[in-house]
Amino acid sequence: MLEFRITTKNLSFAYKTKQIINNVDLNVAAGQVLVILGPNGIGKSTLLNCLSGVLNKYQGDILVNEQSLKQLSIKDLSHQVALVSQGVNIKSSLTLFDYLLLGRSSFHSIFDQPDNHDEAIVKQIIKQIGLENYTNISLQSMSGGQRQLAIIGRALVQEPQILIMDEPTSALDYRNQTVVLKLIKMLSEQGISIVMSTHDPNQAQIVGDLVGLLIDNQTYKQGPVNKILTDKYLSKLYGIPIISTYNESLDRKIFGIGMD
Amino acid sequence: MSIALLTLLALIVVSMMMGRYDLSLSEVSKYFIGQANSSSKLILELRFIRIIAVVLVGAGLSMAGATFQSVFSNGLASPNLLGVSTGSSVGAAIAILNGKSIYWIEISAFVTGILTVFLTLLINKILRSNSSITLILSGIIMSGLMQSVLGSVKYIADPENQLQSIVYWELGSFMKVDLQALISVGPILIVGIIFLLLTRWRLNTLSLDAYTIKTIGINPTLNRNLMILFATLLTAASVCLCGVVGWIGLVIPHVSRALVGEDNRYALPMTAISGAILLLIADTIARSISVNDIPLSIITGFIGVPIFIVILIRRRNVGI
Repeated sequence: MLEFRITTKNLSFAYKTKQIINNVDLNVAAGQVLVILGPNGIGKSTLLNCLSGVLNKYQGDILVNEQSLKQLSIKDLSHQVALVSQGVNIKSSLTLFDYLLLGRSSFHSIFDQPDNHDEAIVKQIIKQIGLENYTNISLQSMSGGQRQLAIIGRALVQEPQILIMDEPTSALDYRNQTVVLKLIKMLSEQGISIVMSTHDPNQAQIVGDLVGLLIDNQTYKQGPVNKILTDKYLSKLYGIPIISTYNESLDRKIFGIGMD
Repeated sequence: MSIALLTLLALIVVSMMMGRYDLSLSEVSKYFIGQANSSSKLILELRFIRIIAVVLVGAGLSMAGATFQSVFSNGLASPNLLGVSTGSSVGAAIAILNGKSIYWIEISAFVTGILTVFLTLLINKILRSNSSITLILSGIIMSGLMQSVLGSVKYIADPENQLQSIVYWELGSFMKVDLQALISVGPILIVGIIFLLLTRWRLNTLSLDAYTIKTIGINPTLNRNLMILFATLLTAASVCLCGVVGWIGLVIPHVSRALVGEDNRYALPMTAISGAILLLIADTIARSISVNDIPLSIITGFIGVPIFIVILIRRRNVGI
């Protein structure tokens, strides 16, 4: 049996009296990518914020490496789970290097300065996200795609086993989407478990091992990509006709929207 | 950075030489090796105490400003953001109105300054908000209230001498700083400066949004409150030593970032040194060019405003 990195049991979250997510049971093993799909406002971000420990007034349980998330300190959690937020608009004017270095904060006390080990990790991650030429460039002068990579880099510097990514490609053009998706594939091959949300079922097809559908505020359905990513489920999910065709040169299904 | 530090040390020596009675470099150096004659020794001792106070306040106010600007991610934040300076002025004004001695004025200023910040935090708590905008607005509310109280005190003050003293306090001066004042307030300034210098890397983390700080593994509320606490102590201690000195806390952090970049590991020490340098220049002018001490905020305003304009133009040119 697979050993799960992150598991939820009857996870529910209500904002004041409004139930956002209800009885979500999800599980992701080492190196697996779970792609969460669902219409706008259905609670994808809420679910991911619960998983990353940002929102903690949830019902049910979240297990990180079989330990209850609520029993982990903010610091211990950050060494296992990192969040890549929906933040192409980050305002920081630090350089890429200094920004990534912040991911090492919790490895030190408040009175410490980063050491050589931290700097070596940051350099290695900058190489991994392919931004070596931007090491000393301010985030303010970078493009949206580069900033998204910087946010992913800052999360990776925490050396997490689980990466939670809230629409990591939503503000990016095709080329930058590909850069990020390739990075996600590479990270999962390194054994990092990834939970990400997206609006594009095609991306789930490309990087996903598992797909989770937030169908309405009551139902969550998770399964392997080929079982869940069907026209029937997706049409029901978005409430419009969705039709897939097989593309031979890509060797995968392509999802399109029907306008009727 | 080392150039800035050497500049500060050189300025201290020059400032020792300057004043209503100019002294030579040899007399100043004799004082430091303990061989000055009794008359110049007396003058130099007073000057030295005053210079130490100026350096500490200059560094402290600038660091408090830089800390507020980072914690609230707002380049317009100044040490008075949470109402501490205005609150302190009220305490000082009430003490002056009651004819109290300088020590009571200082204690009263310190207590009301801290109390004002406490009330600001209380309003924020009642509003049940975690956003820094609400905290800034709470600061504006308390500052406004304290301005009204200050106005009332000034209205009933005796215009012959009390009102003059209150206005003088509001504009800042080191004229009344003596050894006893320095010994009682100096340690607070030193502790605050050392704390913020040691935690300067954490300040970078705190300039991010609260969610991100939390997922990085740092408690945003606890860390922010610690920084705000020490920045407030620095401001309150400065104000009770020399009254309200404007501009330094707002302008100097921008100057330092323009010089060494945004990373607080370098920008904050630079802020401390530059703040000390600017205030030392201002105070040396204040006590040298006329028979009476000129209020400091007049000079820091005249120096600070052009510097701020230059920085804003530079920033516009690099497109920030």
